[in-house]
Amino acid sequence: MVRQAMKHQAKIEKRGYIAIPDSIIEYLQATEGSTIVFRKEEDGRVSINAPKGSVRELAGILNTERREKQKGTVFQLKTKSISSGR
Amino acid sequence: MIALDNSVLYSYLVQDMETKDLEPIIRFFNDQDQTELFFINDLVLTETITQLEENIKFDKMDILLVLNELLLNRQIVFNDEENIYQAVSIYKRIKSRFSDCLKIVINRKSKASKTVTIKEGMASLPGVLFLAEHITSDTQK
Repeated sequence: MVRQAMKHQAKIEKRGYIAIPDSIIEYLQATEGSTIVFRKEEDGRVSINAPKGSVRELAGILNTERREKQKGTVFQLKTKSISSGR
Repeated sequence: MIALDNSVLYSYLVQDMETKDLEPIIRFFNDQDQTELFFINDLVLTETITQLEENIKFDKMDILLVLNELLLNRQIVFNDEENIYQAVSIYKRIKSRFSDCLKIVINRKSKASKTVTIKEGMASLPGVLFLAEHITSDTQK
């Protein structure tokens, strides 16, 4: 268990590298230049925000009709944090 | 990677009756590969958000929705995403313009101990020295 944790551990100063299994990268549809956002949860676990679809989904996001529909929905902005694995 | 200007970004997000030259903008985005990346620099982002703030049709919830969607979109690239996240976090809590929140974050990251301003709207931001208040309290002593 410890050995496995060490394998994925990275010292992060400003920017660093951490290993993420290919299956997760595939699931997130991450391509070169994609940003993967981590979130440190209150229970200490780290979750990943899956990047949403294409830029076309932003089309008319503030269009009056669409906006009225979205008014009723509550959304939470995810905060970004990276766990060093320690 | 293709950089976007605020004129294009704003029109693409809003798409209402008053939006000018919408057709070529929509065509442009539809013509792009879904793996293409779009760069939004800090100036473009703040100008777009300022345009939204100044449009009475939109409120803070609308602006937070846009920021959230832009941050999570896999085709959008920012200058420094961490800065944007921090600025949004401040913007959510404090009644201030988004551009001012981002200004504070960038200044702090550039090791500035304080940001000096006479802009009242920035007075409640963290790390801000509001001169008018400072002068008043000094005069009272």
